[in-house]
Amino acid sequence: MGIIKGALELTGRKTLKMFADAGSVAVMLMDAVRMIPKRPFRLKLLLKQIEFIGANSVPIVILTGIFTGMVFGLQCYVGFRNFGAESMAGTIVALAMIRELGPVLSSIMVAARAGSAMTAELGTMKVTEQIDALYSMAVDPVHYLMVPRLTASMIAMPLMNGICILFGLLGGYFVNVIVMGTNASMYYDNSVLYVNGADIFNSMFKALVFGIIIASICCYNGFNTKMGAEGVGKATTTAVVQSCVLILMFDYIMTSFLV
Amino acid sequence: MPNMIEMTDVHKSFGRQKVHSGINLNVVKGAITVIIGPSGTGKSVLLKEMMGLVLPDSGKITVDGVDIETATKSRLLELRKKFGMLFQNAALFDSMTVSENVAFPLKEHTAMTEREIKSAVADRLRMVGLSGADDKYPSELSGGMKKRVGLARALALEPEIMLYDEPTTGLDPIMTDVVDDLIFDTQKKLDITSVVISHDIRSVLKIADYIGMIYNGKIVRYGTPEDFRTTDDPYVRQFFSGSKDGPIKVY
Amino acid sequence: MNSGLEVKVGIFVVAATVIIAVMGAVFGKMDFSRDKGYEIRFEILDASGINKDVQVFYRGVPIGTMKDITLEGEDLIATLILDKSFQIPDNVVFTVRQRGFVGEKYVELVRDPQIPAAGFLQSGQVYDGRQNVVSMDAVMAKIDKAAEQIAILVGALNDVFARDDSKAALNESIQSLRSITSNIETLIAANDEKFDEIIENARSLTASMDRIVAKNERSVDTSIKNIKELTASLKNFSASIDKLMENNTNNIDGSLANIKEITDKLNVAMDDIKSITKDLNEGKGTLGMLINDNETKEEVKSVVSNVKNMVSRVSEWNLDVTFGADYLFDANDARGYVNLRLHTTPSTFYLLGVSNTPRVDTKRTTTRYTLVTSPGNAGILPDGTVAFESVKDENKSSKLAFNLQYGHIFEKIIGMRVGIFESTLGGAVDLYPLRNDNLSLSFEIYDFNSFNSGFEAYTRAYIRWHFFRNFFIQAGVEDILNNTNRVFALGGGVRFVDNDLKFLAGSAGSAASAVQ
Repeated sequence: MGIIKGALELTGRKTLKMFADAGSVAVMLMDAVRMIPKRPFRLKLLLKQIEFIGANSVPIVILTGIFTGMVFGLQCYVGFRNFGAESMAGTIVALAMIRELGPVLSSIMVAARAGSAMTAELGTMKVTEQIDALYSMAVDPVHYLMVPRLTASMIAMPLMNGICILFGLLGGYFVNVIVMGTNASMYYDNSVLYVNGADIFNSMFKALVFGIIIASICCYNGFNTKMGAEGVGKATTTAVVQSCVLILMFDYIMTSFLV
Repeated sequence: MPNMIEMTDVHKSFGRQKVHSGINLNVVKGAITVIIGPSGTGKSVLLKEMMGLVLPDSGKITVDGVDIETATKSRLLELRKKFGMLFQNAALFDSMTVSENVAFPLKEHTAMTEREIKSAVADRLRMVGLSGADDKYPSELSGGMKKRVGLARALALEPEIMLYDEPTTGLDPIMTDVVDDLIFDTQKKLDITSVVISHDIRSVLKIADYIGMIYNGKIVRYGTPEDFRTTDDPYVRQFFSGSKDGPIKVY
Repeated sequence: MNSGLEVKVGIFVVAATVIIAVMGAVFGKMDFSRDKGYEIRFEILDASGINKDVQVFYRGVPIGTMKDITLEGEDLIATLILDKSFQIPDNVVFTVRQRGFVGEKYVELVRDPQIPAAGFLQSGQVYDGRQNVVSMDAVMAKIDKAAEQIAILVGALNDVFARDDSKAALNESIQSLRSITSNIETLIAANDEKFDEIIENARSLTASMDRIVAKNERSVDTSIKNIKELTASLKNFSASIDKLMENNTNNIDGSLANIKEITDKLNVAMDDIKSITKDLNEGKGTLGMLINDNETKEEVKSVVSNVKNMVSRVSEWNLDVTFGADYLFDANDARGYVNLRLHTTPSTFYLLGVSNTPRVDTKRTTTRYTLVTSPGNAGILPDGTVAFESVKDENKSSKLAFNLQYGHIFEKIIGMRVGIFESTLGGAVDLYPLRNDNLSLSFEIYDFNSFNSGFEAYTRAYIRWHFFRNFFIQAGVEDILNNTNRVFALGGGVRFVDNDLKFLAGSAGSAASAVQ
């Protein structure tokens, strides 16, 4: 009986904590969103965060995009060759890169690279009382720390998505046209034919939402770090895992609404 | 003498650990109040409660007549501008240089020009004896230097209330004396209300106007240094003599 | 402030925004031209499978998109937006077609050959789409119709052959042909022996001549004897020919008579055929009607056009002409050339050209003076002894030479040529680093018997760059393998590609007609 009771208690506690955390994240996010238009505008901090989240993540996003596009292009080529429809590989690569792979992969890469660093930084600030120090100087840490990170993510994520998609398409083009020798103009035409402006827009919208997820989850975990250096490590891991899971979940939810 | 901060029957616990079980404390305006007591008795939490960083589970705290618990967030922020706090480990922003740390509150809350801020920062750093360390990062400083930078930062906005969390811990005797003088002088010069947490009996007796001793979640004794020096309260005597035998239990 | 940070972020934001904007424009198929095109409205019967934004084609050319499909009362109206640069005749049928692996639908405006165009499609009007509802029934009906026509055609042919006069004429023609063949056969069979004899004589004649040649250096007597023999042979030969002619006079006469007869018969057949053709032309008889029928004509035309398509590969051939000149520095000489290049496919070509070779080749002429017997010096030296040689070296500096080469380009980047280079055998490798004609690096090797070089070949390497379209410059080294004759060359020229040539020809023609 004791074991069952303990297991139930654990399950219940975990569930409650999950909901409590989700609520706290939502409250904090709302707080941050409400503070975006509030003065002072910390432009320099925003630029620094855009550099950190965006510009510095460009190489890894380019690599991710290019290799994803290449391998995807290759698989599509091999698959479609069975039907003699190699030039359709372009369509599939373009659709997949723009609708799914671009936003999901770029945001997961950003979560892993920038999100983890974000949590670690905020967590360290928390355990060394720097966040309390901000409070003590009458500066709201959410306004000072989270708002720039949130806005930077919202700005940078769609841009990263664009870069990821571009290089994915180039990767697919390289494999199909240059390596495999599919007719270039047919490949291009097929890529363009089945994709429309709404796909690009939806893709950017997804990236924006993923940016918000990354910033809020990572900031929340950073602000709620406990117990020294070990806590920072734990918080970082949690933040990255939660971000990735939520990105995939929201991807499905948004896709089902957008399609 | 009017009271700057009044704490009435404040209770606070973290999880199952009870920290405060009915604290009653009045901080007199324009005086230095020193809180003493063994480690782990919630002295730092006490300071955070005064600032509203930590809200008590029950009880009432007023600062300058404003109830912290019922105050709006913006009112609370306003109220916090009256405070300056020196954290136990200084809590300097490690992404900023020394001068940027000191300039931070000025940039945030004043309309001072870049040049005015620069001279104000130089002034504060001179006051704590750290001219020339402007461009160093906190990681390049010793513990004592960090504390002094933290002090300079806390004093930057010329607050009405200064909270010191163990300002002299980890300093050599000479530097301890310097910091003590600094606390004393700034208090007298600027007419600041100060709350100091300290273990250093010598400096307590030297600077304090009033002393409160906290033990087991309660203020067990409150009085002037003269009172503490002469009383035969067993808690005070044990703490002052630094003996492990007595009513204060060491776990 | 940290301006490096701002610049970095600025670059990132601007670059990524441009990327997204361009992708949006490309995939959104945005048209930035100010002229959005003109609207054409068609009344159609069925809009299944087509929706907004599908492409519209005219004879395979994308000319616009579908803007909207609306129901106005009972009428189904399709609104198209067509590019302003296209004018489409108004006798088109609104046709829905599909293509590609997934069968994507598109609209094709197909010209209706049965209705003449009254003008071009004008915006603001509603045209009858005259859309055919393509269903299985319709397809079956069409097949039935075709089968019917085939039956009529067969019937008509039967009719033609059923007529007595044409039947007779055909029979006669066939018989005539048969008799011609048999006549020729008999002629050859009858003369078999004679032919053999002629061939035998010819053989012996040749043998005699061989012997004469072989015994060339024998005594005069032998020669005379041989000549006698030869003469005898010749006599035999002509006699046998005479005999043949004599024997066959009758046969030949007979053959001629036969041929005349055949010709007469053929004439009769021709007359018959003429009369049939006449009937056909006048539309008499079922077959005549059929042939004069427009529909049949169109069908025949389509067959012809299919054949044309097969031939149209030829029209993909590309011709370009290059005029150029190189200045050779040390030799103080120049090479001029005209090359004609015919691309049969983008990767293979034939090159035909003329150039004056400036190669500084030394030609050695050796003249042998031979002693012959004359009254003065008899006995001093034997006849036929070489008395002396005169050696004369001359520089063949400039002479006309021909180029005839076959070339193939692999993967657009490396090409090989073999053939005649400046009238000698050779080969070449061309490198196209930009994967097009604009920049090329060539290495040619030819004239493997080059007289005065230590290495037995002439080599040249040059780099050629085309600028503007028609002009090029080139620089290179000539006769690389030869230390003494190696020279640097610099040159340029003009190249006319296919379209230029057509244009030039066209403008020349119009100039000529203008003069007239």
